[in-house]
Amino acid sequence: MAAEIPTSRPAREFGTGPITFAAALTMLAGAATLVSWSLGRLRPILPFGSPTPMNPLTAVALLLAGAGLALLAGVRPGRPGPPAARVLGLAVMSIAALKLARNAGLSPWDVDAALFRTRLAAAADAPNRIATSTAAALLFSGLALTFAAGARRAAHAGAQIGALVTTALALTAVVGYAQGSEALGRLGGTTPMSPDTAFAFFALAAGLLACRPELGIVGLARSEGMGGALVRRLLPAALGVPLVLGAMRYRLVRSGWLQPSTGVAITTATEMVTLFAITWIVAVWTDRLDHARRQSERAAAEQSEFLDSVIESLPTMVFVKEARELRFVRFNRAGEVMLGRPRSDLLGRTLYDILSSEEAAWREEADRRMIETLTEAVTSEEPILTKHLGERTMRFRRVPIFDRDGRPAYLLGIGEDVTELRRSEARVAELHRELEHRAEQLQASNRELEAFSYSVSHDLRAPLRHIDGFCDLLQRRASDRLDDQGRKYLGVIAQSAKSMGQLIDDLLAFSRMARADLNRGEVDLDKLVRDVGQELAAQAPGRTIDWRIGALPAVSGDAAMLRLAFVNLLGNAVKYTSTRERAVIEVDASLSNGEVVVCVRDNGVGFDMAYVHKLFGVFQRLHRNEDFEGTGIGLANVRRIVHRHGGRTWAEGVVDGGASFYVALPGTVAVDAGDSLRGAA
Amino acid sequence: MNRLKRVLLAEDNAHDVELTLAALEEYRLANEVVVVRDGAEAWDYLKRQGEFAERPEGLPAVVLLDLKMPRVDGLEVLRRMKQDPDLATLPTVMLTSSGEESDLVQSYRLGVNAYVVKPVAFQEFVDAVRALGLFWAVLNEPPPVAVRKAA
Repeated sequence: MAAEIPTSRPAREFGTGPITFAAALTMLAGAATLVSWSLGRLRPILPFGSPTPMNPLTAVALLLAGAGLALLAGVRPGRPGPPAARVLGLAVMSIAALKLARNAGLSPWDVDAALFRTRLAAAADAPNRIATSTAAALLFSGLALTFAAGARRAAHAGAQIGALVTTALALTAVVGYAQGSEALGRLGGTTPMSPDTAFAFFALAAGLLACRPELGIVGLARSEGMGGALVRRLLPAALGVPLVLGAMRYRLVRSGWLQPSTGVAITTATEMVTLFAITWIVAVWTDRLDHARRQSERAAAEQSEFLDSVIESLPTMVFVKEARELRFVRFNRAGEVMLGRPRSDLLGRTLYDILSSEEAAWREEADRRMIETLTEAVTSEEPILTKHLGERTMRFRRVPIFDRDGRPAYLLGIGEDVTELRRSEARVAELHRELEHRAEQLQASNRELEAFSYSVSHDLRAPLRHIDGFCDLLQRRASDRLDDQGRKYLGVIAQSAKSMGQLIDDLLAFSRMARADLNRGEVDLDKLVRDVGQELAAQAPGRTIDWRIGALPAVSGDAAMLRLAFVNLLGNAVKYTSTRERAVIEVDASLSNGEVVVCVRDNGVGFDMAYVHKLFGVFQRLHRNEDFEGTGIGLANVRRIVHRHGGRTWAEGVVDGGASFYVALPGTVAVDAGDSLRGAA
Repeated sequence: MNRLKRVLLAEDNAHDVELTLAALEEYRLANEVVVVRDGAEAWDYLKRQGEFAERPEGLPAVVLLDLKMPRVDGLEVLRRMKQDPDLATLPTVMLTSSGEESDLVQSYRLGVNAYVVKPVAFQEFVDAVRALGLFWAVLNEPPPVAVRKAA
C-alpha cells in the first residue's frame, strides 16, 4: 500500500456540476410526479417497496427546493447565495409547516389535498397525502436550503444538519421498504413516504451538502486526514451492510426460504462477521497509514531539528519575520549574543514593540521595500545599540521566503557585525590621507633641497673659483716678490679651495643620486666588476695588486649607478691597500634568502669595528686625510645606490687586518644567475 | 691669424669678469671684450637700445652668457635671442658655475651653441676660456648676418 502522507491541505472543490445535477434530479422527480398525476397514473415512478406515489404538493415543494438548490450552484464560498434561494427555502418550510400543523390539529387546512383533489379522492387504495416524515423532511430540507443561502460557516453547519436529518428520514423509509416494513415509512402518520420522495430527498440532501464541500461532514469525509479516510471506508460499510443484508433477509423470508427467526439470526451473524472483517481491514490499513505518517513526521521533525540547529549554530545573526506584520518568528543564538537580549524579547513581536515608532519605522523600511518590490535581496547597513558591546555597525541582508502562490510569506534576515571592518577601513583611509600628506611634505622638502643644492652649486663654487683664480694670478704676477714661505701659503690656499670645490661637487653628485630616476635593466656584474678593476689597475701603475674576481651573476638594476657603487668599493680597496707591498682584492657572490650578496674583500689597513656605524655616513672618515685622501662620500654613495635598489650594505673589518664590504641586492637575480653562482661556488 | 673679433661678456660677478678677462688676455684672444653686468644690459647691447643706443653698429662674434644674473638671467637672454630673427644665429655660449642637468638641458633646448661649466681651478678655467676663444673668435666663421653688420 502506498504510504500516502496526509496533509491538512483542503480538499479540492467540487465545482458547480454536482449541485446542478442534484437540483435537476430533485426537480425531475417533482416534475415527473406532477406529469404522472395529470395523466392519472397513480403509481410511484420507482417500483420499490411501496405502491404509494408522491403527493402533488410534495412534488411542488421538491420543485421549489430543487430550484432553490440550483440557484446556489456557483456561489463562491463565503459569499451569500441569492435571496431568491432563501425565499424558496422558506416557501418549502411553509408548506411543511402547514402540513405538520394540520397533523397536530393546529390548522384547519388540508394543504396536501389542494392539488388533484378529485384524483386524490378517487385513489382510495393509494393513501397519498403527505406523509408526516415527508413533511418533516421537507421542513428540514427547506431549513437547510435557507441556511445554505447564507454566507457564514455557522449557517452552513445548520444547512448540513438539515440535510443530514432529511437524509435520515428518507433513509428510514427506504430501509423500511427494503425490509418490508411500511410502518417505518409511515413513521407517526397514516401515509408512508413514497419511494420517489425518498430518492428525491437523497438527491436534494446530497446537493445541499455539496454546497460547501470543505465544511462539516462532507469536509471531513473528503479530508485527506485520518478521519476522512475512516469516514470514507467505514460509513459505506456501516450504512450499506445492514441495508443490503436486511433486504436480502426480507426477500428470503418472504419467498419462504428461511424462517423469520432464522433469517434474523443469520443476518445478525453475517453482519457481525462482515463488520468485523471490514473493521479489521480498515484497522490494518489505518495502522499502516498511521505508521507511515509517523515515520514521515519523524523524518520531517529530524529535518526540521537539523535546520534549526544549523540556524542556531550560524555565527551570524539570523532572524525570520512573517511578512504581513513583520513579527519575529525566529531568532538565533548569535543574534541573542550580539544584541545581548534573549529571543523571548523579540519572538512574536515587531520592532514597534521594542523600539520607538520613529526608529522602528526606518529600521523596517528595508523589510517593507523588499516585500513591496519583491526584490530578491536587500542589503542595508545600520548602527545598532547592543547591551554589552555598545554601538555596532551591522550589515543586514534580507531574503524573501515565498509561499506556494509566490507571495512573500516570511523574511529571512542575516546580520553581520561589520564594526571592525568599517573601523579598519576608516583607519586605512586615515592612514592613506596621512601618507598623502607626508608625501606632499616630502615633495616639498625635496623641492627645497633641490633649490638648496642648486644655489650651493652656483654660489658656493664662485668664491672658491675666485680664491683659486686670484691665487693663480698672484703666483704668475707676484711670485718673485714672495719668499718661499709666502709661495707655500699661496699653494695651500689654492689647494684648499680646490679640495673644497671637490667636496661640493661630491656632495652635489650625492644629492643628485637620490633624485635621479632608476633605469632598471639587466646588469652583468661579472663584466662590470672586471672592467672597473682594470680601470683602477691602470690608474695605479706602480702597485702590485692581486685581483681575485669570482664568477658574478647578472642582476636587475641601474647599470650606471651600480658601476659607480663598484668604482667606490673597489677604489676604496685599492686606496686602503696602498701601504701593502702586495695588495689582494677579492670579489665574490653568493645567493642567500633570495638575495645576491656581493663581497669585496681586501688585505688593507682595515678599520676598527667600533666605528663601523660611521662608515657609510656622508663625509664620515675613519682615516686622516694625510694618510688616505678622500672626501668621505664614496661609501655614502654606495649605500644610497644599494638602498635605492632595495638592498642592504654592511662591512666587517679588523684594524690592520683588511676589510670586507657586502652589498645585498634583493630578488634581482637574472635567469642564468643560478648557473653562474654554482659555477662560482 | 685672423683679425680678432669683438666678444660680448654678460657677467654680474666682478671677480669672474676679471678672471675671464685675465684668461682671455693670457692667450691674447680678445682685442675687444664688451662687458655687461646683467641680462637686461646684454639685451640692450644686442638690440642697440637704452644706454647702448649710440654704440657702433655690428654684432659681436660670440656672446658669453652667465646663467645666473640679476634682473634678466642668461637663459632668458638666450630665449629672446633665439626668437629674434637678427640674433637667432649669433653664436652663444653659456658660461656658468652650475653643472645642474636641468640648466644644461634647458640651455640646449633653447639652442645654445656651447655650455661650459666654470671649473674651480683657475688653470682649468683658463684652458676652458682659451678653447672657447680659439674656437668661436678665431676658428669659427661667424654667420653671414654678423659679418655683414660688422663690416
